[in-house]
Amino acid sequence: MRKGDAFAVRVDGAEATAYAGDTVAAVLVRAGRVSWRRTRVGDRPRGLFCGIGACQDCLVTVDGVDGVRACLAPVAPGTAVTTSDGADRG
Amino acid sequence: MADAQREQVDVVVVGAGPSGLAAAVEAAAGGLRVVLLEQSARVGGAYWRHSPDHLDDLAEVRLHHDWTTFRRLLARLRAVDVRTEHTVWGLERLELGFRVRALRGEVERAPVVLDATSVVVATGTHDRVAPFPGWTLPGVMGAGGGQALLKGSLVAPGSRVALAGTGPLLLVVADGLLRSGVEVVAVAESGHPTAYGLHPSSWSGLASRTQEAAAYVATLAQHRVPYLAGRTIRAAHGADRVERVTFATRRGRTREYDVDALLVSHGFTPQLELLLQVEPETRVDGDGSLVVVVDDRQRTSVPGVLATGEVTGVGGASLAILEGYVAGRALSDRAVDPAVLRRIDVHRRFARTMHAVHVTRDTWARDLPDDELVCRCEEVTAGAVRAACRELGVDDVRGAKLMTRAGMGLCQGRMCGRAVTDLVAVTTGREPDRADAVRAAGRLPAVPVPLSALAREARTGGDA
Ligand SMILES: Cc1cc2nc3c(=O)[nH]c(=O)nc-3n(C[C@H](O)[C@H](O)[C@H](O)COP(=O)(O)OP(=O)(O)OC[C@H]3O[C@@H](n4cnc5c(N)ncnc54)[C@H](O)[C@@H]3O)c2cc1C
Ligand code: FES
Repeated sequence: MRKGDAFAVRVDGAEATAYAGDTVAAVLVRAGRVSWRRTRVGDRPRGLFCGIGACQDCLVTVDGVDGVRACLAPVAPGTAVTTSDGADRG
Repeated sequence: MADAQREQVDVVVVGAGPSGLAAAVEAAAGGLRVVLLEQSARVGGAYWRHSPDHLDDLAEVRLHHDWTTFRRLLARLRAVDVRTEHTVWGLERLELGFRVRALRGEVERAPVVLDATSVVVATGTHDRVAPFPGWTLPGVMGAGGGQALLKGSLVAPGSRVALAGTGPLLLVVADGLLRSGVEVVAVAESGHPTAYGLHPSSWSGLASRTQEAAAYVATLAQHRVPYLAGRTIRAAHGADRVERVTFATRRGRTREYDVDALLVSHGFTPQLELLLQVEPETRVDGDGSLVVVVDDRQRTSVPGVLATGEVTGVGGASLAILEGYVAGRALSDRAVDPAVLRRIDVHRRFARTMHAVHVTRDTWARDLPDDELVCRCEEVTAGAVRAACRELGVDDVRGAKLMTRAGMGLCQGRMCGRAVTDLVAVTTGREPDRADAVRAAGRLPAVPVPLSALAREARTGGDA
């Protein structure tokens, strides 16, 4: 499948490839991640669920701002994404 | 947070899906000043998901339907002030007109305040997923949500995918995955689509829809993907992600599949949060969803507030577009083509049949083990809700919320409202009514900021 122009973003400190029009979630899933956060009570892994901004399962930190919906937030060249799972791993 | 600038316009349309786009261009064509607010970074809604820069790529265009309609709407959209990445969270009645509050940018979160004479709410739906064992495992997601990922970014939600639930969307999504080279292991449809044959009059005049469905079934057959009617999702299994799924017949015969993703849709839940802030008349639709009541010009019971698309009843994109057209004409006091009104009736009749054929029975609420979650955000189990009913006398969704915190989390009960209502009903034997459905629905749209920040914004934003 053809994609738009490729550019680099950072995910948990490492470089990842993104394409024009990608959301943060698209970058994460393309990089093989299915979950990137753990729940408060049960320490359960979470990733995408509704995929359209309604469930809040997919929250990440983007350029230092937390509570961002990965399924809605677009990426741009140089966008820095941190996930709470990634932070835990050090 | 910076103070918001306040602007005055004729019409604010919330949601740039098929119906919101149609309403906005039609109102603007009638000479009105229209602002269209959309929370995602692109227009097109759940139906059209691709950036117009890629229009030349045929492989991608095949994933999309009615592309020419979309292009035509986009061309006319120049007359509309379109603002993407604007999440609307507040709708308030003023003495004259309405105040609409939004946040600009999922990361930036700058407050925006617009005052409008009229508002069109076209906020669409999200997938409804009735809980089953393993439904919170990563890799299990809404079928529409999986489709959104695929269409929007050409990323597949998995490489071996199963689909379950009910409704035409399962076929649409399976078709999209197969065309994108993804392995689809099976599609479990809990209904019996042959039942459409019992309602032949409902799809007369909708030849395109039946042809489309037949084409999807043919694609499945060509790829040897089993389309299992009368089968439900019994469980998803896995440690930290879904690895296997079990489908079951009503008699309990099971089949298992190894997967790395499971896409589920038990129909849709209309997103009524914004509308409910101005308390329009609502009703429970044939699929059990709470929807807003509109007249033949898409007007709600609140003068000046119109609603279009799935928030008036789940019926698909073609119906949504027609409703948007009617709303836009009504707002600009122009005549509505009677043929369009007849088309709308045809689509609504079909929707009623669709709701009758694709039913999700509430047996899930009896079968769900006590230790499974019903509320994903606050991690409230089915057992906790049942105990609240049996031991604390809870008999409605509000009581369940107070006693268990179900629905008090980040999504504001969006994901669990319907499920908790059904679970309480099955446990207590008390039939839920429309008031329950209204209580189960949230008042605050999903927003990317803590409520405290919103409260601050509400106090300062309007006085800028
Ligand atoms: C995830 C998903 C995928 C689907 N995929 C398909 C498909 O591939 N094919 C198909 O035929 N049907 C699909 N459907 C069915 C689809 O809902 C209808 O066909 C059609 O898109 C309905 O049009 P609409 O205008 O009513 O709403 P939608 O198309 O859902 O548009 C609503 C818009 O409002 C925006 N919005 C919601 N709340 C706010 C807010 N508070 N502030 C700002 N913006 C907001 C949303 O981001 C969205 O763009 C899908 C449904 C869902 C939920
Ligand atoms: S996946 Fe539901 S909000 Fe992002």
